[in-house]
Amino acid sequence: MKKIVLIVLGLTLILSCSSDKKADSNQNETQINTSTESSNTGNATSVYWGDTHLHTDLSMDAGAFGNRICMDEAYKFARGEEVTSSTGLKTKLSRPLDFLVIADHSDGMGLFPAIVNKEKWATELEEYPRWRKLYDEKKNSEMALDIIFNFSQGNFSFKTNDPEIMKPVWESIVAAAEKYNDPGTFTAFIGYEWTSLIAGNNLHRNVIYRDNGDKAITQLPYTNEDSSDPEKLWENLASYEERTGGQVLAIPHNGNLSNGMMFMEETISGSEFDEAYLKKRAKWEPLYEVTQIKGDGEAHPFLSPNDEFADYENWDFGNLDLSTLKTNDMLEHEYARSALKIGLKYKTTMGTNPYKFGLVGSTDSHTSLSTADDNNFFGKASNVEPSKERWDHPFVKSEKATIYTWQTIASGYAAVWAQENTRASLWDAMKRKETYGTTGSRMQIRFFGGYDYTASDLDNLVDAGYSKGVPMGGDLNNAGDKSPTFMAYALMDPENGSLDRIQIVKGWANADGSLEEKVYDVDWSGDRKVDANGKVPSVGNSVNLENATWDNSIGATELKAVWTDPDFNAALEAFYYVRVIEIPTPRWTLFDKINYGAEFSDEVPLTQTERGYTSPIWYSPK
Amino acid sequence: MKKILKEPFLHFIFLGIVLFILYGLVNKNSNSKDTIIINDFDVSALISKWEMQWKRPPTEKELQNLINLNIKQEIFYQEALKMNLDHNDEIIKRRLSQKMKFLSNDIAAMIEPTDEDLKGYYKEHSDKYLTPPSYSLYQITFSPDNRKDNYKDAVETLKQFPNASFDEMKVWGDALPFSYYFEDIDANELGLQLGSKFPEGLKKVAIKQWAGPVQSGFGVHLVYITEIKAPTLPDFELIKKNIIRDYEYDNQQEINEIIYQEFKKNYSIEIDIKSEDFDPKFVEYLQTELNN
Repeated sequence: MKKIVLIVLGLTLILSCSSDKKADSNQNETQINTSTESSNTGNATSVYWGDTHLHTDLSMDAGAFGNRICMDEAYKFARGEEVTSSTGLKTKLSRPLDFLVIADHSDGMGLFPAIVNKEKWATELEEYPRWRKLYDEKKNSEMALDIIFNFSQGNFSFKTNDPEIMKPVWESIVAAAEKYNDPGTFTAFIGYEWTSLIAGNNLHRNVIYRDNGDKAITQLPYTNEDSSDPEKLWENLASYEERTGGQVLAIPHNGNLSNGMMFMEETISGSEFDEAYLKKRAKWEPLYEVTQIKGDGEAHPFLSPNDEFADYENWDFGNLDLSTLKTNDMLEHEYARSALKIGLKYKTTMGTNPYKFGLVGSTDSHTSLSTADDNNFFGKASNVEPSKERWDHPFVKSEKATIYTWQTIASGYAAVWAQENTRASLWDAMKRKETYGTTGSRMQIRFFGGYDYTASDLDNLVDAGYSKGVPMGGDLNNAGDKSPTFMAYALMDPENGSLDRIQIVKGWANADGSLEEKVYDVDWSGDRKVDANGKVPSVGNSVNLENATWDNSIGATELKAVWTDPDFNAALEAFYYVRVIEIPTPRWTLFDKINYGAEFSDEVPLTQTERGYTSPIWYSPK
Repeated sequence: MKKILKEPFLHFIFLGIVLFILYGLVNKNSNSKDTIIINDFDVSALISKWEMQWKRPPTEKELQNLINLNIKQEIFYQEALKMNLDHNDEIIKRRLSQKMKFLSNDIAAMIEPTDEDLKGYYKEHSDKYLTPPSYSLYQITFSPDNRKDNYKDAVETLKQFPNASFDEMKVWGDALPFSYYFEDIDANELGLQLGSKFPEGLKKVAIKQWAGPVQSGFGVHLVYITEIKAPTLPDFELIKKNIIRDYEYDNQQEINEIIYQEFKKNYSIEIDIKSEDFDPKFVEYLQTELNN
């Protein structure tokens, strides 16, 4: 022991001496930019790509699944640097991201490192011996699933919001965001995930701060332990804003795992909607994460039987822990398009639309690696990083059902139209819903609505778009005797598939209270003709299953249209959003087959069509 | 406080004191008479922990209970140490080795880099900070959208108008939402806008004349490069924040490794594998590798 102490002493001496020589106390203070002001006026000229939903090993389930890399690696990776994954693979993104929100679960923040490090509070938990045993036996995923199941059923013996545990973790999260935030180059938002679960039904929200660390540090994140009721979360966010003068917003996700609770028609506590509630929901939750690794949530074929593209990577098996299976009556309260329609109903009857949200995509990856590219997909969690066998791994399993890893999707990213790459500018764009979500492709989409667009405005899209109307996320009112006209534009991702078609999805509320939707093809590649059913025929599939290549010539590099609603009724509430569909390209499973020799059963899809969904533009007669 | 931490001499004294205390704690057994002292500090710590959890101070009874629990734990802990129950406990091993790592992290964090350190790092890793080459160029796009053979069209246009002026050439391309003229744009940015093939293709064409076709993610292009700027190293002050971040990250990894290697010098590692299940070459490899 003596010897070791001496060595440490010696090393310290050597190290401190070497720094003595160079000591210079002038310019050592790390500069932290504390300004949240920015140029937020003028048209949004650039699209910024990011992930609003990434977990590191600080999340209790991520750590248990085998994630051993933390925030440094997460930020470096997002900024385009090469990092080594938890399973030892070196990897980098094909292109850097512009922003990142590390959104670790606020409940049990730091629980996993505490179990590994045998911190005292953790060892005293009733669950500790069980988890410790699984960890020591390297049964990481069993441990993670045990944590998820028991947490989602409210079975933990301990409180997951102990400030003594949370405070140092929150401080480290804020410090890391400050360190990697480079205004103008890369935005590191401060954020967390509020992991609300009611009997296994997913009501999660990601909270994103506009503010810098000086404000965010003053209040600990809200937890499911505090309450599972979103109203309580909003109260907490309101008190934060009031006390600090800061600004926050919340983004819900995975309505598909909520068993009908994400977009209910009463409050979580079972009361009837009142105006105050509707307003609060609309205020605090301006965006919805429409697509991510655990399934795509735009539309469902049961709800939209006439939409041939609705059946896309949906997860309609049950709730988050599969403790209760899905029934069809739940679906209308789970999917984005349906929720947007329900919102119109309340706008008509009560004057406020609670579900007036814009759209983003994000990964919800638990690997510290924000990967949404099919040819470089690191999976949902570290136990399913690339390998020959991962596809067959049961991802969620209960007595009632199993979801396999092959059913996860390499999706998605958030695209934000803003003036500059800063916390303030990007956050303000999110707040005004000038955003869209994609399943991972970086296609550029513009969408404007007004009353006076003409075909020639397409040549001057951005200036005409803003000066004669509103961008995605905006509002149109009181049409009088005019019909609204829209400009929809899409440019393919130069590293991905070309474009099949642009569609405008319309939803409206009839006077009798019934809700309807219609999907219009507004521009498409090639010289395909609309068929007898009013549909543009399929673009075909050019994917070569032997080498994972495809032929972009069947699609278009860009598509654009000025479109006037042919079925417009000025007296009815309505929304319009754009869906862009790419030509079929290889799914991540095909890359696993080619790169690792994975051998699948027939049910595993090998191709897919990436897509993008914009925030709607709403029309109101009022 | 930060200033004081930077004073090398105080820094040294401080570490000395910390290590002295640590050393004292480790050797406690020899002169301690099994006394457990509960002082003000301990009690305040118990109270503040309670307050954080319950948002109120503990009652007298609760406090008494807390102290009792604490004493109980301390006694069990001390007795367990005497019985050597900590030896060969996998969890304790891991925890203590982790503590050593934290110690080295702390050492790394205490040494704030000077500008000189940072400048040295910046020079040594200059390739990491080099900007990509930058281009000023005119380009016209031949999109496959409206052409049967966009590649052929590009080749023929170049053949027909090899010396066209910028105004003349402009009309032969297709309109896509990026500039006809890019001024001083770096190769990465061009790759983001037009696809990574494009800057790769630019490397192969002649400058100061119409050239191509160059492939991009949107089709093919004819380009006229007016100027290429070689990669440059941005000013130190401009990227100081990045340098600090990288320096600290690398430094921490390095100090962890140095300390490990220093300790390791005091151990010789012998591989004692006799089972025939293992390839003797593998055993030999282990023996030489692990002692390096």
